[in-house]
Amino acid sequence: MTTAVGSARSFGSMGPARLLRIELRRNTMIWMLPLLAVAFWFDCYHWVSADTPVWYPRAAELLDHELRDFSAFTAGVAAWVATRDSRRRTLDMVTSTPRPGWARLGATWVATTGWVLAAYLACVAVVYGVTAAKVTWGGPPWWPAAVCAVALVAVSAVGFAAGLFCPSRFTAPLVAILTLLLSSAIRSTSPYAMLWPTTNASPGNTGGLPVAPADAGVFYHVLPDLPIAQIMVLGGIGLAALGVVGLSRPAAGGPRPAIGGRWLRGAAAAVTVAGLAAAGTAAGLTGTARQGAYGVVIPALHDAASDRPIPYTPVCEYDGTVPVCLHPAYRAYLDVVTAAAAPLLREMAGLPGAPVRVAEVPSDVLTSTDDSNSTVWWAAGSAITGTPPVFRFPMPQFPPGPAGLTQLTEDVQEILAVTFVSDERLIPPGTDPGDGVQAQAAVELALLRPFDPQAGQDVGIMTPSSDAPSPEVAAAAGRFAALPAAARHAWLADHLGALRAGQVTLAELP
Amino acid sequence: MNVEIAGVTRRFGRNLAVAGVDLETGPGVFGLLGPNGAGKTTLLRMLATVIGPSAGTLRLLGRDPASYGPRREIRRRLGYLPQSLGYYPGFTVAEFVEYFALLKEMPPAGVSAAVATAVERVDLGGKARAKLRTLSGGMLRRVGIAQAIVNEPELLLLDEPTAGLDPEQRVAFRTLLRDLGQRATVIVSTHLVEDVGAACTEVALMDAGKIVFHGTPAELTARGEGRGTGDAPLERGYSAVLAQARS
Amino acid sequence: MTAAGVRNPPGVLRPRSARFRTAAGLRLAWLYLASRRVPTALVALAACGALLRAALEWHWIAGPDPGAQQVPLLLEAGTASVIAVTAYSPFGEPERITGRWLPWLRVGTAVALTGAAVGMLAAGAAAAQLPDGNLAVLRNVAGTTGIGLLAAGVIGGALAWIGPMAYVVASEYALLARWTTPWVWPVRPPHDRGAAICAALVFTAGVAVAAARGARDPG
Repeated sequence: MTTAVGSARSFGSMGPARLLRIELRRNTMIWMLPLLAVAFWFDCYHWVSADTPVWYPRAAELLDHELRDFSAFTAGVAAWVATRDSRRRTLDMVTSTPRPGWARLGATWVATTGWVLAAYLACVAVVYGVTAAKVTWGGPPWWPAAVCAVALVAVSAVGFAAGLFCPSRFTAPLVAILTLLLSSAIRSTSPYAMLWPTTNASPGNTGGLPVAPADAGVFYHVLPDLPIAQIMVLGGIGLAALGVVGLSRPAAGGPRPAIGGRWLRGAAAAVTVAGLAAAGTAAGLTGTARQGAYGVVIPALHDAASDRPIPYTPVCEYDGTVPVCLHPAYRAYLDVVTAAAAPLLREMAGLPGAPVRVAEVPSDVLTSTDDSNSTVWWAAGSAITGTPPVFRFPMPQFPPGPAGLTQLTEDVQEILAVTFVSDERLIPPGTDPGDGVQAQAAVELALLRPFDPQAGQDVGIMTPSSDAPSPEVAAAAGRFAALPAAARHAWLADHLGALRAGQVTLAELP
Repeated sequence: MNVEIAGVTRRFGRNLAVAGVDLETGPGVFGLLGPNGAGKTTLLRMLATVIGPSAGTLRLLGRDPASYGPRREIRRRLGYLPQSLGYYPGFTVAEFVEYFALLKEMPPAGVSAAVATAVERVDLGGKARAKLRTLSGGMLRRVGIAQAIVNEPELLLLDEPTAGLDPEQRVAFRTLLRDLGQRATVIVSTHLVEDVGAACTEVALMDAGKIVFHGTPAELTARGEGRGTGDAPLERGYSAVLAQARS
Repeated sequence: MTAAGVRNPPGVLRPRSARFRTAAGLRLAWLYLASRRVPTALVALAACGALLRAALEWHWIAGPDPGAQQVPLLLEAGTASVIAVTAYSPFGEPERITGRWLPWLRVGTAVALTGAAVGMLAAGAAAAQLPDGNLAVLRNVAGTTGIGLLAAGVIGGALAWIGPMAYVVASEYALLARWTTPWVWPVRPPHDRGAAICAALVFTAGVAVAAARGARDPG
């Protein structure tokens, strides 16, 4: 008789590889790929491609949208696939085979997760490829992509374990909806909430938590502290889920086959403990997170070398008044910023403290993050400083499209006007102003009105209960703007110092 | 002896499915007869190492299946077709048999040839690339037989293997059984006494968890002369033995 | 074995009186619900209600951004997914060829579970104010359940949850992009008539498919 049974040594690695090949060919996740592609195209790609052509904001958007779109289906299908032998009544047949349960189930899980990762990496390639064609500086940040990949593996492992231990028809939908809930809707001010990547993925979006600055990766490196912690916790949870699967022992006549022998269960226990330890350690470390000047700092994970600035040569444009210089990452907006600043700079020319240069600076996330106000005041860090005076400002955040460029123009003009008239005051909206400050506001409005009829919404001098300037301020601004340019210029030349010091009242404005 | 069972018992809660069975058998085709609920499937599941006995000793192919290592060795040399065949509808015939060949840790180099041979032996060569969801019930049964014999097992356990097969296929299947029985221990659980008569060299009759007859088909037939009910001699022997066991 | 039991089956009630018919009907309904795991589904729906209660109590819905609307939306989709997978039949063809009661059982189960889902979500939100109120919950759950039942007819009951999941992902995108089409009813105001009509149409279509065909058989 020709025996078909060889020795254990002759099996090699080809058996599991062929098993995996069959699983890859017939995995249910393949049927989800068109759905994931549609979700990517209409959601992630739509938002990312319209975003500022700077690497990190796009990578963060990719993480946020991809995790939300992919994670629910990944977890649900993984749970579904895990119930296959129970649904198809093949448990007895597969149990009577010698291949260890962990190898058989491992092939199923790897195939399921492999397809998800392949789809995800294809999406990353598309986004990064499109971004590479548009950005003018820097290289792709890999931390957000890595965090999302590990998160998908983790939800796949948890979903698979849930399906294996609870092979009910309700497991897949409940796992999917819980994952989507976690990805989309949980907003918390607890620092532990940062462990889930989408909680505050978008730069500048606080909810009271430490954040990466909107220009992360431009002036300073993207701090890896939080991504490392996220990878530790997600990887740990995924490992623990897989380890728990390995610990499974069948109940007498029950639906679950044995996964392996004693040593396999010991290894599974070790994997579970290691996974939980990693996750627990990362959670503990994240509890110590604080807002750093360049992003989220976790002291135990922080490398001071990542606080070094990234060298760059600014790109400048000169329209006859003062040069406007931006970081090369924002080269695409140089024309817009120059055009926005030029009229005001002409108005200011010759006045005390008038800037001789415009320069972009890193956003000041420490000042801009106010514990009592969840809105990030992006303009914090703007000032006219130095001798000769230089107008320094961080690049504002603005929506995509033509409306965004309009907003960028208005923002640059407003902050230039505000810092020129009172460079120490940047009052968050709604603060009750004093009388001297009202006069400053009126002058700012007068400077801005020729360019933006709606100016005043964000100047920062609103009555506490209104988004519009008070009637007195509006009237004073109207009077001041109606002056001939020469008269206005002359008055400012004489009174700018007192105005900035808050010593001029509304009634004293011409 | 490939199968040595001594005092094996299996309980499911309060239900005593197998109540002290003793059995020894070597190469050949062994028929397992009995009414519904006699414990045939439970006994077969124990022999397939799917479940363990509640009491008693069990040795298969000279090994004790209670330990992990020997159990894996037994399973490499085992083929099992359960009564209720599960399958993956999206797999093709060849993929399904290949899947189980790989699970049985067959040498990868020989898997393709073994799969082709097994599929041909059950006369599904022309359907090798057909998806399982497109097959009839009888064809699915033959696919189940193919996965059971792909590794040329030394111990082959078949629970109702001819269910759904047409008469021509049943004749071919009996030929296959006799051929396999020359090299291996084949245990067939069935209700069809003609299958037992045509293919089996030994037969056991189970009732209420116990073996009430163990012998050759001729001996079973002899027990029914002048006593049992049924259209065929073997049926009369079957009913006579059961009646005696229950009286 | 004799034929005597067939002619005069022992213990058979002669179905003359309404009481016996009612008892038989209730028994049939109970067996149908058990076969669809409806008791477990009710537990799952209650869990969704409890989760909504927890979200409101612990202020998971924080801030004025669109995320505030997402928790109720996701839980509504969760209940719709649970209802959709109850359409799965473990019996297949033998059940399909039975008499006239099956379509009514399917319709009754779908409608009753939808009502139960709305009730449990409303109960979960009873102590606090849902962003859009209970009317929106009814509209959203009914419409998304319709999607789930339609998905069950196409891809089978066990995978029918994919329909509501895909719809809720699309709704989340619509929320952020500020779509106004009534076919994405979760993002419309609670008293929006067009959205209510669309949701009702989809629910009706789903129930009709469930009644006529049930879930597609696996395999």
